[in-house]
Amino acid sequence: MAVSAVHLESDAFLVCMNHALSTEKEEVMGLCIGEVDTNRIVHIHSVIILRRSDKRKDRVEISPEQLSSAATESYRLADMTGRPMRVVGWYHSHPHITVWPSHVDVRTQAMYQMMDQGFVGLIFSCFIEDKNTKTGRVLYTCFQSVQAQKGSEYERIEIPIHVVPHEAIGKVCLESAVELPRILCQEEQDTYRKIHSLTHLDPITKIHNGSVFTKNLCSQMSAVSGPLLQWLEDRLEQNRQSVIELQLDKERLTQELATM
Amino acid sequence: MADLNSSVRISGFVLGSLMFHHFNSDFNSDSDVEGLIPGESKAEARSNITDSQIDNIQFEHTISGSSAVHLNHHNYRGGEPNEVRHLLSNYKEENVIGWYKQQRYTDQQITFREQVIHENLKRAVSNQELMFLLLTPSEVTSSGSTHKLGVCSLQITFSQSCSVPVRVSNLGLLEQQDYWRPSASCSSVNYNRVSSLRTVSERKQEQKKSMTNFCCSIYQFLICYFILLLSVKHVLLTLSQSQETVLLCEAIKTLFPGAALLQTQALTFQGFPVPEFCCNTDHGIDITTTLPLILTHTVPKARKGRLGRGGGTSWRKRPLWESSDTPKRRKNMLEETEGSSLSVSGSETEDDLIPANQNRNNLDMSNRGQKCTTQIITLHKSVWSIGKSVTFPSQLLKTYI
Repeated sequence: MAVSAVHLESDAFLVCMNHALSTEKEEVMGLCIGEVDTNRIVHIHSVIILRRSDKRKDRVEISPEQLSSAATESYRLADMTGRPMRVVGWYHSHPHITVWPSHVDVRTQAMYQMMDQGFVGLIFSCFIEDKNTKTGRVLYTCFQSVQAQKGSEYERIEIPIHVVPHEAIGKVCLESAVELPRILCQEEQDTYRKIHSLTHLDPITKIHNGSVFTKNLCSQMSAVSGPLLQWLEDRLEQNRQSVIELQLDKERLTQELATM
Repeated sequence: MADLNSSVRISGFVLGSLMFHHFNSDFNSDSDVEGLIPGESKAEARSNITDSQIDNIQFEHTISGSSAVHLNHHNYRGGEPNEVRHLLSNYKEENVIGWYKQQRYTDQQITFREQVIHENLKRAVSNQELMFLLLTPSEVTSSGSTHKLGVCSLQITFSQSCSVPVRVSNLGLLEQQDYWRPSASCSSVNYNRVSSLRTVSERKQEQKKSMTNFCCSIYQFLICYFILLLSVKHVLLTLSQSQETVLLCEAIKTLFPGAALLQTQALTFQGFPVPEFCCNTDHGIDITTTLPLILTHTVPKARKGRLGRGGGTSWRKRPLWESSDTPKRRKNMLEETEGSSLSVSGSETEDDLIPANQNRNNLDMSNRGQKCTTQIITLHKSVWSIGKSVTFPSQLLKTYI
């Protein structure tokens, strides 16, 4: 039976959006951690960014090992929060592509639902631009799969999604957010090692591949690590300013209270 | 012919944080969210000369937003000049390149209020190219399963606005290159040999290896150097202490010329000083110039010291080469040989006193003699160790260098 709704915490949403907006060349993916209540509402509290073994612009794959690691992580979160956490869904991005799930996405979702009926899928569509109005668009949707009435194919069903406000970015989501540069670096290292292990490459090709590896790492630092650091530093500074303003407000109110 | 291309660039983290603030705004009142955008503005002119066109100048104007400063809606009402100045008090004017607003369920159109705020901000930051970023979240489906956020940037001049494309900075814009998998198909024999490149890479490896070895040897040399430094310091300290001992020896000879007991560390079984171990060396130190103060107080204090002590040896300084476990035994011996007779005032010298105490001490003389022998052996060992330490550095140098 399909779930009734999805409640996505705003800090988890932030991590998904940051991940989806990190590249317009390939699709990215991750897993959602949370719980399902008695009303069949899925509450997503945090997300895990996954490493891609094969970067493609039109598809993503989650390996069984990654699912197992995510399950382990959910147990750790369960211990930390004291709530029954588990892997409740997956998300991936559609750069320059419509937000609606493809037939591959629907089939993949159906496969996950065989293991867990409450499993949900989120898609973030980014880098959509209307050339006439020169406006950009970001879309996100939530869906599940159901057997089609005719044939053996699956079709999608819409699941209402609400982003739940969160006072601040939680520690778990912050840790997930800062994992992105490390995961990108690991992906690049894995790709380079595979290439480097090929024995038939001539020295010029090897030198070229070494330079490409260095260049790609520098690009990651410039496009992801640098802006992430900047954003965190600015946020820290804003929080400090907020603390100062609140303290001044408190003093003022205390003085007013004293005069009354 | 000149083309003007303006664009606004923000990072995905900034856009994500704008959406995060939007969701966390006052949920009950369903209010809009506003804020400032610090960043920088760059203008670049590129000139392309081709066969078909002589003058083809492209102006690229990029406004980059580095962060978003969320404004507390309760404190901010409408962009009055004083209000704006207060908001900008925490930020440098030149850093503010625009402002943003998120308004729910509306079209991407600027209102009159936003125009007024924009004009006030332009005057406050003195930036005619101030940018206004409008974000319009809305639902796409009635079920609430799909949502959309429209992002549009406007440059407002004289009550007219024109859209500027917004680009989200990401990895894809930096053109990450692909790795080469198959080798380049070149049938040239010399190309495939690539001997020079191979030699270069092999040489590089060898250089790296030799540098590593060199660094290791330098590191070992530094260790030896510091050990040598420490040992030299130890020797210098020993020498300075022996110099002090020499000074003490001369001082004692000056103050107590006939006191052989004070000029040796070795005693016989009977408790007499061993003449062979008495220091008869003239160290060439003039006490009158080196320690003048001693001689001014020499005669009365020296007598007082001898008469007054009840066995204390406070005026007596042990030479460095005595072993550390002998002081108490020495003290006790001194007390036993001289203590009782010294309590009587008189003008006797130590030589007069020693035979008087001899009989009293006969009983445990053998023990004391053994102790003296131990002290002599210990003294020899100390001298030997000092001599050994002096030659240590040269031996170390031979080992390590």
